[in-house]
Amino acid sequence: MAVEGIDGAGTTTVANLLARWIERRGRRVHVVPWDASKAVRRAAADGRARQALTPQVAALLVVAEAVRRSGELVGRPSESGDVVIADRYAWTAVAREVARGLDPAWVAGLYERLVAPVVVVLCRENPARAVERSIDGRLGPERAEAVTPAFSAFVGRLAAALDDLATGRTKGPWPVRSVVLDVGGSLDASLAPARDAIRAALDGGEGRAA
Amino acid sequence: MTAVPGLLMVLEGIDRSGRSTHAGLLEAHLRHRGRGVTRTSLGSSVLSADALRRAKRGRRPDPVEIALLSAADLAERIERVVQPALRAGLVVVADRWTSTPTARAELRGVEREWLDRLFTFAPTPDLVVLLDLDPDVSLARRDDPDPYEAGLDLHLADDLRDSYRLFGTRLAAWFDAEARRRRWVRVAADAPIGRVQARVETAADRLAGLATHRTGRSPAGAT
Repeated sequence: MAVEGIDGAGTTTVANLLARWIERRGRRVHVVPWDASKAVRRAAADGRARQALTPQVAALLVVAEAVRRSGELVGRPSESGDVVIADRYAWTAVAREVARGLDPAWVAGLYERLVAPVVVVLCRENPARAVERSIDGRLGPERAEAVTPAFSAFVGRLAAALDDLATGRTKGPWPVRSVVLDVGGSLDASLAPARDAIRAALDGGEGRAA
Repeated sequence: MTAVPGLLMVLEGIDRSGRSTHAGLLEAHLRHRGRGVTRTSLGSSVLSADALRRAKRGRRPDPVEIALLSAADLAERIERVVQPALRAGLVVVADRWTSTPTARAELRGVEREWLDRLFTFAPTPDLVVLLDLDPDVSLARRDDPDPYEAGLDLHLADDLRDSYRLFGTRLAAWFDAEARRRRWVRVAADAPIGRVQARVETAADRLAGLATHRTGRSPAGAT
């Protein structure tokens, strides 16, 4: 299964809480943090390579790496009957590329090749609050003032793209049961629908990943 | 659909069919006739070339990963080399385009429909010349085939050269079907080099009389 959301939406907390809950039901669980692409990070740090790193090229490099990691980190353990929870996965990746201006259908098509989860939990957080939390204390006041508008706009687009995937307004990489958690309130109460969806998937013996 | 003044000419063909030799000769010919030319070749991008080589040499090469890296390689060259040249009215001579990576992946079981969608960002070539070569002749022209290009990962044969011949036959059949479907110009690549060159030049000259070039759809919207 996958827990998706913007930075600061609490995906790691939710993934770990769900993992502990599943373990109590007697299943082995692997929580896999889903990093951004190493290749893209390396390219971004190199002046010459950075010039070639357009959104389209970056998207293709990221998905190439994701396909390999999906097989290694998600495919193999789930084939042996374990539960894998990806702390962010294809939806967040698709939403990032859409927020950078790429065509949602093209990007979703690229991600079809990742191992498909049986449940996606979207942690929804107010983008302005998430931006405030990410910037707070990390940057000086002048720098924060300079980057906040662009960053806020990007996170807003990212959150909107994730919402569109959850509502089905844009087609995701695969048909999948999804649950939206509004993580602003009591976490325990808001996890209930996710637990219901996971229970149904586990009891139904659905597929490999949950 | 946007029209740009340049022309995109692609040379396709299996290994040792003389693509890069004829790309060089075609460039010289077009320059001699007063056309500006840029050349580009599969696997020559800044960002993806090394990753592509590593992925092919891996213990278990993944055809989907290789197709995606090939697309990244092509996307970078389109944005940095091909589109600017086409917009400036140059002729772009490309040593392979989308067909070679598509063929290599499809022959390893990746769905054609997904591959076609993957490559929708690539402009449609104005001319594709297929240098037709028998896989046996190709094999005789090279000592040490690359294991991925020989399809060794498909376990068609234990011996590298046997595998190369078998995979080369499938590849040649794939190109044959594609050439018929898309009306490519076909040139027998085992003919003397001057005759191959003359046929490639004739096809290019015929096209160079045309003025416009159609661009493909871009997933980024405006390019």
